[in-house]
Amino acid sequence: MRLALLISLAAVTAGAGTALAQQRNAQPYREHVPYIDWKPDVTGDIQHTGTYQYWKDRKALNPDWVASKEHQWQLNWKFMDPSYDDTLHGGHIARDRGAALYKKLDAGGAFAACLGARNGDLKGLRANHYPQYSTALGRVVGLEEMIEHCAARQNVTLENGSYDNSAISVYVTEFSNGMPINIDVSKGPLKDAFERGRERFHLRNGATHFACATCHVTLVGRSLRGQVLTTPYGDAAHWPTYRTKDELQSLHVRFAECNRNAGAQPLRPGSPVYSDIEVFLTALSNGYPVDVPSARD
Amino acid sequence: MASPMKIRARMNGDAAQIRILAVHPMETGLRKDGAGKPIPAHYVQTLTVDVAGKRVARYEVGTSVSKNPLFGFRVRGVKAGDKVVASWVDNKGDTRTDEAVIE
Ligand code: HEC
Repeated sequence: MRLALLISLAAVTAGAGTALAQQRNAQPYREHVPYIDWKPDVTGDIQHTGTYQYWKDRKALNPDWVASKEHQWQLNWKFMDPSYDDTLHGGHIARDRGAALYKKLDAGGAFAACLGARNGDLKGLRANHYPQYSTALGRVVGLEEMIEHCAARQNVTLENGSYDNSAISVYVTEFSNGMPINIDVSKGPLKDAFERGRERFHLRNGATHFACATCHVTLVGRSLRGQVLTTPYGDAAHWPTYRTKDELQSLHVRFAECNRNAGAQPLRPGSPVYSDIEVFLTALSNGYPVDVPSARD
Repeated sequence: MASPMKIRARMNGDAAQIRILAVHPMETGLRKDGAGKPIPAHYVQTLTVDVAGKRVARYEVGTSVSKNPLFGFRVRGVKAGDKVVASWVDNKGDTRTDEAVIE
């Protein structure tokens, strides 16, 4: 009797499994369906969610909308960036920590030079030069990967994704505050990375069989896990960010969190796939000014 | 040595908005480390704020307050240029005092 029950249970589960498998097979397992024509500029959002007009100027956000749960997503949460919100949070503590670490690493000026700053001047480095193709590493890298690399040259371990690494990144990024992001993805290795990143953004994977775009394109404006999804345009301009759950995050750590939430295998910060996605997302912020230290829920 | 507080004080209409971000672990004494050993309590007990030499706020802080706590309030009867002095004392007797000027 018990055995029979067990067997029939097994049959039921096996049946469910096949049904699921059949449903999945209806769509190719790792399909790549580009949803929209992506324009490597923040104004591309006009054809996407059309919310760009509302968050174009951070200082001119509609305060009624800032206070309204219904409208917050249309402001792309830009009211948590410092040029609108003058409160203090863990991002400011991180920035100071980054400044102290940077000063120590750059005592001889080699750290700034390694990051690509001319005469130690960090102004515009984040906005105009990252992500970039690194000849030293032979691949496309984001700022945090370069920080790890340049620290390692001085025998200092600053793992990409760690608090200290992201803290230095906030410090360096702050020198680009107010400067529009400006990366050229029309040629060379960045163009290839942009295209790989775009493909990756649409690639379904993991237990839920979601692509980044499933949430960040199809479900924009709908709520998920207590948050309302926003446009991916203009996102890269406020990272690394302080998450109000008390965690300083770099963009790659955010990707890993999204992967985990969607039941997909998270990758290591700095992995080539994440760098490609970073190029793609940064291009969607072209023309939008950098603003850190920001916070996000 | 304790890390400096971050203080931001700005006039907004007839009042100043003052924000103080303290850097402190705020350990309750109830947590345990990886090896199962209790982490000793370490938290801010009081925070006082003076503006232009006058006491404007005194906080009784305890273990229920988060790590790196933010204190904020508005105060009337002050003006741009006034000095803000914030000072905390924790349960180990450590203290930290920092200053800012109202913008
Ligand atoms: C299960 C749905 C889901 C999937 C799949 C998903 N995300 Fe997210 N993601 C969210 C939610 C929810 C948020 C928070 C709301 C928001 O900012 O849009 C978020 C936020 C983000 C943010 C921060 C936006 C900001 O401005 O702070 C980035 C960047 C991001 N996701 C990238 C990705 C990438 C890259 C992928 C694919 C590897 C991905 N996400 C997959 C749900 C998802």
